[in-house]
Amino acid sequence: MSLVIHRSGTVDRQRQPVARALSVVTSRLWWLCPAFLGLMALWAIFPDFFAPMEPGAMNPRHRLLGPFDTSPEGRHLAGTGTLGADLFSEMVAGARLTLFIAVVATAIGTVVGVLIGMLAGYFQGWVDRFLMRLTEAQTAMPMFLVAILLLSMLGPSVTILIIVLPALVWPIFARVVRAETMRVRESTYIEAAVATGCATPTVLVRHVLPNVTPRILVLVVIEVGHVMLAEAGLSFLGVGVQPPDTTWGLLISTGRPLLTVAWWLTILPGVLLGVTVLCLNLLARRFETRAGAAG
Amino acid sequence: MTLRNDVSSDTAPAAPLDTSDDSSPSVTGGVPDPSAGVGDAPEPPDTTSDPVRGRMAWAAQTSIPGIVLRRVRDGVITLFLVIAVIFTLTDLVGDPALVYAPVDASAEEIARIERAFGLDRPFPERFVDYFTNIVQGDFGRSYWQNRPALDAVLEALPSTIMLTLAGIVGAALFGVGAGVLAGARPNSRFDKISNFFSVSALSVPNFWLGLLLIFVFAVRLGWFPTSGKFGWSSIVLPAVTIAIVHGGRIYLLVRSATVEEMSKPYVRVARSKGLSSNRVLRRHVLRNTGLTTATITGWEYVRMWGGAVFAIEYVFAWPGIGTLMINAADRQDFFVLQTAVIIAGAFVIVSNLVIDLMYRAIDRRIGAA
Amino acid sequence: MNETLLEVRDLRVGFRTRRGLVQAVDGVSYSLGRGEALGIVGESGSGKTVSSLAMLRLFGLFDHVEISGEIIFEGRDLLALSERKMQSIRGKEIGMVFQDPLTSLNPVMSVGDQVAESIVMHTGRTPAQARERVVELLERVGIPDPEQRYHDRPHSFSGGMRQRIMVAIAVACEPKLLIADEPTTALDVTVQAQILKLLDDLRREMGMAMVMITHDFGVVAATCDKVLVMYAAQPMEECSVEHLFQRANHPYTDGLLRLVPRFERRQHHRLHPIEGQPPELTIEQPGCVFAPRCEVATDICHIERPAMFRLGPGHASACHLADERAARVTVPDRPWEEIR
Repeated sequence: MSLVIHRSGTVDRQRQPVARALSVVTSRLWWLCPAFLGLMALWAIFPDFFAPMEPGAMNPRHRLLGPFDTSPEGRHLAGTGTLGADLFSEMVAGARLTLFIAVVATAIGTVVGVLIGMLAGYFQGWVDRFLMRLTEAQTAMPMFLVAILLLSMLGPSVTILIIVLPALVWPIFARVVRAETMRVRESTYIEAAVATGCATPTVLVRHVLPNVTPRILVLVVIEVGHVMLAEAGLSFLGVGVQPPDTTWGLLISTGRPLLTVAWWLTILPGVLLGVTVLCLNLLARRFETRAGAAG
Repeated sequence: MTLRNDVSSDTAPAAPLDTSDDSSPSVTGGVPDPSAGVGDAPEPPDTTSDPVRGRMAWAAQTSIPGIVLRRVRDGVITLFLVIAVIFTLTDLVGDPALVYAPVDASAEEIARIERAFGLDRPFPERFVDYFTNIVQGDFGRSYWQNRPALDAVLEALPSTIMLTLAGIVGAALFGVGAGVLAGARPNSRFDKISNFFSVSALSVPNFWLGLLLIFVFAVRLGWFPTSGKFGWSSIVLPAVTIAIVHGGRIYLLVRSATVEEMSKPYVRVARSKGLSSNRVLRRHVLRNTGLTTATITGWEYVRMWGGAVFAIEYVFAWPGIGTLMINAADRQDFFVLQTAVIIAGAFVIVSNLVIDLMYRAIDRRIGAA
Repeated sequence: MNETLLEVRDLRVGFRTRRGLVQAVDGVSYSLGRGEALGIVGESGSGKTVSSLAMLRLFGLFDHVEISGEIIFEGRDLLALSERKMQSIRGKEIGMVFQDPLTSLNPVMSVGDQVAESIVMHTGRTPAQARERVVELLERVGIPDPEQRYHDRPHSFSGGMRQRIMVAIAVACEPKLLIADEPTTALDVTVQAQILKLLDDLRREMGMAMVMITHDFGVVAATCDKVLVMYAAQPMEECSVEHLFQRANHPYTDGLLRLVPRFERRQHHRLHPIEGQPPELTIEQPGCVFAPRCEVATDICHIERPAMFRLGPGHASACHLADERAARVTVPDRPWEEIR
C-alpha cells in the first residue's frame, strides 16, 4: 500500500525510490516489445538485408569462433558454427520460418476454435456435447506426444507442422467463444433479433464476435508464443523442421552436441526465442489489463 | 451495437460443460475451472411428477457415489475416444507393412505383408480387433526392442512419474510461496520482480532452459551429472527445470487468486480489528485460497503431461516416456509410439479424475453447512 | 462536561488513479466528545465513508491514497502513527461496523472465532479464555443460543443476525469510538430498527462515542446528537439534530430534507428532487461545489468557495448565504415549517 501522509507541506512517500524508478522505466518502455517484434518481422521479411554475412556460408577455417570474435569476413556477433557459418546470420535467416509457422498455425487454430466454439455454443444439445467431448478428449491427450507420433509417421515437414500445431491451440479459443456465444444467446435481444428474421450466421457474427474479439486478440498473441515454443521443441527433437530449412529451435539442436565447447551455438538462439516470446507475453499482459479495465 | 461484457465467461447459463477459459492462465492469471464434465449442475429434485424416482435421480446426481460413477464413466468414454483417435490417426498416416518390409520390396511383397498382418481388412474390423487386443493387454510388439510395446512403455512410465512429481513439488514450492507473498503485496518491488521472472520462465523454451542449467551447473560447475539417471543428484537439474517453467504459471495464478481474495470485504473487516497484515494473511486469506491453490497445482501437474516434461527428459537423457518416444520415432516403431501416447493419455485422464474428485471432496467439506 | 475525544481538522483524502487525483474528501473538520454521536449524511460518493476509513487507514491494496490534515484522537494525531501503532488502535480504541454483513465475515471461520480474534489480539487472553467473553457478547447483541452457535459459520445466520455479529466484533474490546458505516442499509426495515436500537443501547452502556454514516435521515434522527452533511467530498453543514430538522440552513440540506416524504401532512405534496447530478470529483470547480444545482445560488457562489460560516454554537454552514454579511434571502416553499 502506498500511503502518502502530507503534513505541513512535506510529502513523504513510503515506497522506495528504486522501485518507483523501476516502475516508471518499465511502464514507459513497454513499447520496446512491439519494437522488438517488429524487428523480428523485418528479419523474417528481409533476411538478406539484415544478415551481415551469408547464412549458409561455410568457412571451416574460422569455425567455432566465440561471440564478437572477428574473422576476415567481419565481426561475428554471435560467433560461428562447426563449419564456420556466422551464427547471427543464421539466426536472422531462421526468423522467417519460425515466425511463419507460429503465425500461420495460430491463425488456423484460432479460426477453427472460434468456429467450433460458436457452433457448440449456439446449437447446444448434442452438437455441443459432441464437440465438447472432442475437446475434452483432445485436452486429455498429451498433445506433444501426439505431435511426435504424427510427425514421425508422416515425415516431418513444414506443411505437416502447420496442420498439427493448431491442435494445440484451438480448444482454448473454442472454450472462450462457446461461453460467450451461450451467454449472448440467452440474452433477450437475440430473441428479438431472431424474431425479426435475422439469419443464424448473421446473429452470431454480429453479436458474438464484437464482444469476444478483445479477449481473442489477447489470446492470439499469447498462443503465437506457445506455438513458437512448441515448434522449437519439435524441431529440437528432430521431428519438426528439417535442414536445410532453419528455425531457431533447430539451431538450438544443432548446437547441442557442442554445448561444452561452443555454448553460444545453443544458448544464443534460445535467448532470441525467449526474448521474442517474452515480448509477446508482456504485450498480451498489457493489452489484457487495458481490455479488462475498459470493461 | 455491442453488449456490455461485464459477465464473466464462467456464468454461462445451464452450462453442461467446462465453460471457463483456462486460456488466460497461460500468462496472465485467472483461475482455471477444471473441466466440469457433462451434465454437471444438478437441478433440485423433480418431485412433482414421480416423487420417488425424482428423488433417486437427484440423489444419483449429487450423492458422492453418484458423482464418482459419472466421472468414471466420463473418463472411460474419453479414454475410448483417445484410443479411437490415436488408432485412426496412425492408421491414416502409417502403413506398418512398409516398415516391416525390406526397403526395395515390390508392391506385391508389400501387399503380401499387409495381408499377413491383416491390414487389408476393412477399418471397423481392424479397429475392433485392435481394441479387443488392447483390453486384453496386447498393444502390439515393438520390433525395435523385440518385446511387447506395452512392456517398453510401462518400463519407462515410472521414471516419468518420478520426474513429474519431483517437478510439481518444486513448482509448488516456488509458485505458491512466491505467489502468496506477491499477492499480499501487489505492486511491491518483490511483486514486480517475481512477475518478470515468472513471465520470463514461461517464455523461454523449456528444453533450452534445461540445456542452460546443464551448461552452468553440470559442465562449468560440475555440481550435477549432465544427464542420465544415476543416483539422487541426477534428478535435481531436470526437476528444477520443470519446476521453473511450471512454477512460473502457478505463481501467476496463485498471485491472482490471492489478490482477489485480499480485495474481499472481510479482509478489511479483519484489518479493522487490528490484525497485522501477516496475521490477516495467515488466518483469513490462506484458508480461503487454499483450495484454489491446491486446484491450481493439481491442474498444472496434469498440464505437465501435455508436453514440457518429455522434451526435458530427452535433453537430460532421462529414461522416461519422452526419451522412449523420440527413440521410437527415430526408428519408426509405431506400436511403441501408439502405446506410449495411449498410456500417457490414460494417465492424464486418471489424474484428471483423481484431482477432480479430490477437489470436490474438499470443497464439500469446506462448504458443508 | 464533555471532553473532546476526537477532533478532525481539515481532512483531505485523495486517490491517485489513472485519470488523475480523485479528491474524495476535501476539507472535513469536526469534533466529537466522549459518548457523543455524530451522523455523517450524504449521497453515495459524497465522501462520508472515505473520511472514516481514513481514520483507521483501512484502504485497499491497490489504492494509492494521499491523506492530509489531522485526526486527533485522545490527543494523538492518528495520521502520524506508524502502521504498527495503528494496529493497536484498530479494534481496541476504535471499532467499526461495516455495511454488508454478507461479505464482511470470513465464510470459512466460525463466528465465535471471528469475534474472539480481536479479544485475543488486544487483551492477550487465550482463545479459551476469550470464549466466555465471546458468548457473553453474542448474547448481548441478541444471538439466541450463543453457546451452540459459537461454532457456526456465517452462512447459517440471517442478515440481521450477521450484522449483530459484526456489532459484537466491533465492540468486543469496548472501544472508545465506534464507527458505523451504513450498518442498516443492507437490511430489512424491521431489522434496521433493532440494529439501531442495539447500537444505541451499547453506546450508552459502554460510553462510546459514535460516528454514524448514513444517507437516511431517519437513522440520524433516531441515533445521533449532531450531524455533518456532506456533498461531493465537501462539508456542507454541521449542526445539532434539532437544528437540522427545525432550522437547517444550507440549501443542500434543505433540498435533502424536502425529499423525505412526510406522512404527517394531510394534503398530498410533491417531492422536489434536486435538479442536476453530483459533479465529477476529479475536476476542480471554482466556487461552491453545490452552486450548479442550488436554487438560491448568487453570483459569488459560482466564484468563491464558501468557508464554513458559524451560525451559532455548534452550527456552521458552508454557504455564502450564511455569511453574516449576506442579505436576507427568503427561501421559497418550505412546506414543513407549517407542520412544526
